[in-house]
Amino acid sequence: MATKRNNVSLAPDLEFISKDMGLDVETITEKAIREFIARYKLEKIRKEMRENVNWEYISKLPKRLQKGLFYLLDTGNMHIAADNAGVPIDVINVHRKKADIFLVVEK
Amino acid sequence: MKGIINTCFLVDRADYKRRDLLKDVFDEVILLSEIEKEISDQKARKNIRNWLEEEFMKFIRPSQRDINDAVELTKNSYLSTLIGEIHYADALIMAHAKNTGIKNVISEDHAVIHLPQHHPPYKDIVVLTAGDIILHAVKGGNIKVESVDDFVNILDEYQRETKRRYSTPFIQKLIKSYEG
Repeated sequence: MATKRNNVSLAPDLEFISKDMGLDVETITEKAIREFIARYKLEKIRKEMRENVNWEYISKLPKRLQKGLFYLLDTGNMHIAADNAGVPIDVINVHRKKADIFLVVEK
Repeated sequence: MKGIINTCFLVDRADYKRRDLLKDVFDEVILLSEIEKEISDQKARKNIRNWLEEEFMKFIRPSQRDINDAVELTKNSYLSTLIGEIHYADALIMAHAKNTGIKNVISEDHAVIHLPQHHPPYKDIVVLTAGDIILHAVKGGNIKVESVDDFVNILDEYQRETKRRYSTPFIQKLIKSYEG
């Protein structure tokens, strides 16, 4: 029942977006599903990476390095984490390992 | 087989005892100048120097077209929503692969792995993780494996030594390919 109600309430929005973007509803639906799956995967990675992290080690690091490791925990992106920390990628990698941050690889 | 390598892979490789595994699977590995600049670790640099001397690794400067495509990729907010932020160096590797027709990119970066699925111009690029490379080496007989358990142990060893964790569906995919 609830699903039916939701479908009804989505219809005008879908119709509007369809006209606005010049895309058919199927394409928009596929795009939305793709986005949902991608977000789900990212969220799962985020959750798994936070398991068993050595927070004590992280708390003793300089603020900038902490910022980089927090970014890494949020995104799994070591390149940008290194940029945020202002250190080369291999340096952030050493701290990642010491902080027991396991990079989750999803394919 | 030819492949373009990214930084994360090189950095972790220095600590991995089977670091010469790449040689079993690839005939030549391309290192872009932008990637080389990012590496400061002495062990990783020594590894690169050796591979360059052995002519297993080739050092290449990206073209202007690669640079333009990479900049465009990093600015694509739709892609960022789907796969997270793309770093310029990663984008450059993908752009170089697309423009030179080198199909294989060696990387374990989330954005790089998922870009071909979400951006049609890059759909022909095959991103190989260490897991895929181990699978190739096992199938090619470069690593002797007696059973699925042996294969899983080798994957575990890589994950332990480099502090990476493969998702369960990915490990299942690798096991299925091994068995098939």
